[in-house]
Amino acid sequence: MRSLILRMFLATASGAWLLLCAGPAGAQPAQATGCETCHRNEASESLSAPARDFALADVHRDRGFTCVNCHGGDPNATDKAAAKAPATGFRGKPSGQAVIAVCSNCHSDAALMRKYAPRQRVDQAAEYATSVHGQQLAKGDTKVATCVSCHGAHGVRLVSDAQSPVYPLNVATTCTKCHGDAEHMKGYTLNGGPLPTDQGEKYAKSVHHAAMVERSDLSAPTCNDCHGNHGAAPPGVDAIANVCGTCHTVFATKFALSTHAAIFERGCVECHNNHDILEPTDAMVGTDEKALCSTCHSEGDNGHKAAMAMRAGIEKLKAAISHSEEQVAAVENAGIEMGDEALTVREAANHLTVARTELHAFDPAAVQAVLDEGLGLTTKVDEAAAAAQSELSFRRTGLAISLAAILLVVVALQLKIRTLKPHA
Amino acid sequence: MSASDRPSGPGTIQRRSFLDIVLGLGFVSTAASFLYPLWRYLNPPATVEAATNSVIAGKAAEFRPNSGAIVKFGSKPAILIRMPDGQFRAYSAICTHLDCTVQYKGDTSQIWCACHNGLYDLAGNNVSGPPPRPLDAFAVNLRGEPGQEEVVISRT
Repeated sequence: MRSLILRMFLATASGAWLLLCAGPAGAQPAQATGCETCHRNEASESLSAPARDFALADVHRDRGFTCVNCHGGDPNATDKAAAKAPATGFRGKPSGQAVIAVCSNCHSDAALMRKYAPRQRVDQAAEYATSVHGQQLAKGDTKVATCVSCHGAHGVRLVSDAQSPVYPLNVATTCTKCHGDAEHMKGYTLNGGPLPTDQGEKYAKSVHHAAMVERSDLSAPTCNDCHGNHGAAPPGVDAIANVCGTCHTVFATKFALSTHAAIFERGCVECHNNHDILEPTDAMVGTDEKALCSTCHSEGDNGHKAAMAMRAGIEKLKAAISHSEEQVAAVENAGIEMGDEALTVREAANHLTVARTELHAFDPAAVQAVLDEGLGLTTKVDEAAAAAQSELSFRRTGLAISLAAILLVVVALQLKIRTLKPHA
Repeated sequence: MSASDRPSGPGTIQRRSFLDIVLGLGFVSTAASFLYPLWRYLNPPATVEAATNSVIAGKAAEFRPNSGAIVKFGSKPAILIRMPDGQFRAYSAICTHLDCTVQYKGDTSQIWCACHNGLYDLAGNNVSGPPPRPLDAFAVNLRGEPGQEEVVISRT
């Protein structure tokens, strides 16, 4: 008898486990279950909201998953006690590590995920374990973010869904729900001091935020692009140049060659900041008060001389390009075609951009070589514009002479007419 | 009593005076019609550049397969690419990142911006580096007798 009961229990338990692991047979939206029938009518918002949210829009529901897949239980049971009996595998509301376990039950299963999202990674749980969130959770800190903190628990949407909290445009808002809350972050430290909570405000001032929000460039970085998403952690000091270099490859390559690469403790951040990365300007280079170089370099040292030379060279090319543009515009406006010269000015502007890039190696000779090429182009344009101006002047002189000749003829004719005798 | 001998009263104009006025106005108008264009030639108004809608890049035979060429489209550069299979494609050669001029990379069959290592595929899509959006595409048509076709690039 005992053996029979044991077999029945094992059969029930293993059935429940198979249900949890295997997922739904088909990828059809799941129908309302017994769980939802009761939970929708619960007076408590915390008990009714999950059923309501799951019914509205949920990527799991759309693929046939139901409450049981995460919470266990028996949706066909007619009373609460039977629906949540231990034999049903009921686990209630998971929290902490249990959330990671429930989600990774499917999301770490490559064979299962291949049926629903073949391109999706299945190492989120492994990455999470390496994150600050995961490490804190392992220490027993239950305030830290788990899967549901960012993705939601019910009403989960695809990352590509614009209403998802992890859609690129929404990531900063999602992260700052905790990281912008000083009360929530109380007790966490960074470099011996309290962990700042102004990252969101600073990011909102940055070029990256402007690119993403104002210019709708979803490839622009938000929090997870630098910190990682599932493995979220501040980039290490040694990693900053690499992290920035994932997009700014040329700058990273040049910077790696520079003397500053070994000196700057925080790499790119030393000049450009981390969260409040502003539009870089030429004024950042040089030796005046606004220039960043002068925070470390003083008059007479090599860095000071290099900064002064590079800034002067850049300003010279900028002035030359501006002058050439004016010359080309003036000549074109007078009716002489200057299309080739306009393209050459554009090429000189390319050299200015390349020089600004080259500057990150902090080698004045290399910067000057690029600037000289640009100056050579503007000189050619100026020569062509001067020749065109000369041609224009020649044409105008010719016009003046021909007009004078016509006027002379008119006056002469008038005088001649006066001398003619009238007919009798 | 002829009309010319008719005595003039107050407010009437002699025929000769009337003709002088008409001739004077005609002379002034004619002089203005000559002088105004002359004035505008010497002092041209600030004009907006006329939009270029199409250009002839050259003979098709001049472009070898798996190559790219920068051609002038108005006062801006366009890149004409002859694909390895002989087909033509053209895009604005202005990188969507910081306006540098892009070029064709035959070894990887990509469009490359040297300024910040931006890469586009041969459909003009930004695939790597900082460019935020694809290159603007132009239409390419071949015009003329077989073997003598001209490559015409035009706005789509």
